[in-house]
Amino acid sequence: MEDLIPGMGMQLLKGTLDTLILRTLSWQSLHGYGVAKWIRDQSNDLLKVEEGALYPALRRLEERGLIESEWLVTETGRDAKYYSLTPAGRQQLRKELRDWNQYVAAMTRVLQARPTRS
Amino acid sequence: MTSPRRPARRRLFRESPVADVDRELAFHIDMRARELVEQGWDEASARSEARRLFGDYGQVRSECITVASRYRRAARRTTMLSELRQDIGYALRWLARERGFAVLTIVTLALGIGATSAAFAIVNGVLLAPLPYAEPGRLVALWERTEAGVDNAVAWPNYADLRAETRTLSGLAAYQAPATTTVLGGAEPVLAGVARVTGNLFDVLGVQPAVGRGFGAEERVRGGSRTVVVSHGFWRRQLGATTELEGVRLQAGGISAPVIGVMPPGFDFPRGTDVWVSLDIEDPAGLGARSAKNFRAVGRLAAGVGRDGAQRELSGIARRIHERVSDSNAVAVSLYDLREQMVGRSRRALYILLGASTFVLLVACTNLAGALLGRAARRSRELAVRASLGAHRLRLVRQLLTESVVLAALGGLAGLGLAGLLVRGVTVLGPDAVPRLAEVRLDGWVLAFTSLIAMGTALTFGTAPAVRATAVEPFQAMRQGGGGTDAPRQRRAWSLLVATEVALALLLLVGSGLLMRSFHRVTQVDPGFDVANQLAVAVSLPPGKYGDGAARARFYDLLLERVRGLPGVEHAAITMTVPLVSFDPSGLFDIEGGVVGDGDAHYRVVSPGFFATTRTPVIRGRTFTAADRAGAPDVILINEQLAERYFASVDPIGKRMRTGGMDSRGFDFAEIVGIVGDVRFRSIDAPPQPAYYLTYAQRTDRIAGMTLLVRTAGRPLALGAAVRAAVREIDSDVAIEVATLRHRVGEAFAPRRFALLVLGAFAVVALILAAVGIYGVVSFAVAHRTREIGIRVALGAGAQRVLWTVSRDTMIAVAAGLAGGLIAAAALTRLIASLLFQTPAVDPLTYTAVALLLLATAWLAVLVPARRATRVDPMTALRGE
Repeated sequence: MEDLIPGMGMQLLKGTLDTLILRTLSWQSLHGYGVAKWIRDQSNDLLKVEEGALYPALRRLEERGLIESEWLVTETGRDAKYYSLTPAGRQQLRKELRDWNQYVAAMTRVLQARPTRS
Repeated sequence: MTSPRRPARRRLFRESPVADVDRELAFHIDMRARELVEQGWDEASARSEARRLFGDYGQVRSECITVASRYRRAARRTTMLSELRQDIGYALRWLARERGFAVLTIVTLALGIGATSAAFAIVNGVLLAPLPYAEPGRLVALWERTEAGVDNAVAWPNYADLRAETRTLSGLAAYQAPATTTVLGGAEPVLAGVARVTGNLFDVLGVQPAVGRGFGAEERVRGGSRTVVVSHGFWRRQLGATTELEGVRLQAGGISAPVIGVMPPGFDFPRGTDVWVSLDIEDPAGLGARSAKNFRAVGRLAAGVGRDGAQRELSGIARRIHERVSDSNAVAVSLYDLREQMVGRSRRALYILLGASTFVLLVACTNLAGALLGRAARRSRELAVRASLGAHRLRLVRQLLTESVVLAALGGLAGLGLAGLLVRGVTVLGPDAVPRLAEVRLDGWVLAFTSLIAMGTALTFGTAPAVRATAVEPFQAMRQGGGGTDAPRQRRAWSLLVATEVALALLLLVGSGLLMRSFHRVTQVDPGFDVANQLAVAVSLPPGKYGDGAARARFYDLLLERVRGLPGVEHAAITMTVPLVSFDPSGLFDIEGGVVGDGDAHYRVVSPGFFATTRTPVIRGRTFTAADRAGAPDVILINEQLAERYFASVDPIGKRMRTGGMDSRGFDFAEIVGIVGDVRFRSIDAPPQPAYYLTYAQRTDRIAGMTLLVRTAGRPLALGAAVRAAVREIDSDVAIEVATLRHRVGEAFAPRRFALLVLGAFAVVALILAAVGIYGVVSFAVAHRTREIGIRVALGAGAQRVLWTVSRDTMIAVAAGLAGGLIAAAALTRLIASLLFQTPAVDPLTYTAVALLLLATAWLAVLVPARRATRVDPMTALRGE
């Protein structure tokens, strides 16, 4: 997401969309629209994904074998393409969460550190 | 989020990636717009807002389609691979379970595929592969052509003129077939093929020595240095493969010469040569007159010249020579493609070999089809269960086909091994029968061919049984309790298979039967001489010591005197050429008062006693005696053919004939003193040709290499040592080679024996395969119909009745196969007519014998399993499922 998110000025880091999708699908199987809405709702609209960008990302994750898809019928009777995590996707997500936590911890330490006298 | 459910009816085929993407994106826009409407937007602006929020729709769509298509292709591949792996694993497990079936089928296929691959390897290596020379397509064999259109070998003076004048050939070399000579200087004294060739032979062929050098300028002039080039095999065996040729010398025929080069492995031109010596250093006068057709010639077409163009130019040169000098009867030349000349005569035999092996393969395939049908029937229950559990029929067919392919692959692998053995066997057995056999390899082409026929076999003969097996209604198959169906359709299929293999086996048997009859006939031919109890001793006089004709004659006089004195010797004689063994040279002659050089006949130089030794009858007059010496009036003998053709109305005895050309004596008159019987000289199955005989004492020019024939009372070889000793006593420098005449002549039968052996072997294999196939069919029928047989026995059917019940269909099929095979044989054996000798292609005796043999074999193959049926215990059979 190179574009600025309209209104909020918050940029999504490269590659984090994949992590968000995997995390979203780790709760339940969802169609693309559902994934977009979930991310919007959970971030209180802070992370506004440009919605179209989600779909190529989903397709690539599927191609990498991290998620799989199936056409199902929604409760309202409409056909929708549902995605769910594969075991490989679950493992990938675990790795990305670990990396992210380490990244955040390191950033935090550096940002809060004070200079010490030598 | 609400939980989704599966659609009630699943789509049979997945949508294309494009439709898949479009539907997904449309869904998104719809849902988003609906959400906006719920937030208070009106329908129309909600949709456009949803599009705006989505971003670049077209870009997203095309990106999704790209990824989805790529993914779909990869997924399809993965599925296929995993299913294939599954199928192969399944097939291997099944084969491991049914080991007997697997072994039998694989051996059957290996026989068929092995025979065909070996035949293809030979055809490919001999007929199709280019000669192992540079730009072999431009190499031509050159022959002189007479007014009568007869092709002759080339006379030296003509060769020299053609070579000097031609512009259409970039090179023209002459050579003689190698002469077997004792060669000293290697690891041990050996007999080796020594060929005299012009110094440019290697250049014309475009082959350079692997070690050392070829003939250079100093070997290409009259009186130049005498050197030799050796073959790679000779170098390895006799010279210890030394790359240091300095000081390595060979002695052949009393002359010592340094070895200057080693040809690359596999180079064998002319065939059977171990040692090459240059002709160019010799005195041209000794190489023969224009009427002495002593040399073969090979040329290379110049760049941009076709064979026809070269032939026109060279024929023009020959015609001008003919008009200029009186003794050249060559009015034109014939040019042939070198490969065609080398292998052309073997073509038909080799294609027959390939055809015969194809029949073997077909019989093997028929067996395979039968086995697969049987297997499918046995497994119909298993297949039915799998089908009812949801396995797609296509998937089942594919799995059965995979099994056939696995079988064929294993059979092909074994067949390739067998082909390797066969090719090696044939190259050992048949070098005299077929040219270029040493070049035959199992190369990439053969590998491709083998894979192709193995896979072709699997698909052709596996498809029908697989389709049929899976056509069974699950319900019906399961109810039948594992027995499968034995519908009339199935029985018809069995019968067709049996009939086919009987017909094919019959064809092969008839073919080899006809060849066997021919072979027998050939051995019965009276060649005009008695082969038995004769020793044939090749004698080669060293040219240095025996440069003079008188010295040569003296040696033979002495030799004959000594040998005739040995105990056990009835007759002894020397001859320049041995019937059925040597090349039979021809020369010109004319009868006194006729046109010079009008006649053309074979000539043979022999000693007194020759006709007594060979037991060739003297029809009229006398033969040579010791009184016919040099200086005495020249005498000549003619054979019946010559007498008939040239002296139709007059008595030839006392007439004078002018002969010559074969040596430096030129044309001289000699008196005809006798007529002798015809001898089949060139080949046993070719009619005798006109020939005249001269005595060695009066023709001492060309008697450096002669063969001593000794007729003995007892075993000829027992005299070998004594003859050897006699030669050594006279001159220990003279190389000899001792063998029985029968052995030497036996080599003349090699091509015929080769064809017989190969076709015979194929026929036997086909017969065995057919028997196995029939055995299998009847065994299956018996096992399959145990219940029915049990009922019949229970109802009082006797053993005869039961036997007939289970064998009837098969025997009817055998009879049909025999009838079909006989008709096909009558049509097809015409193809081998050229290989037959005094045997009609439709030979009633052969046909009857073969049909009876096949019938007996088939009956045995039926009887053994059918008798099992007569021992069926009705109670057990009925109680069983």
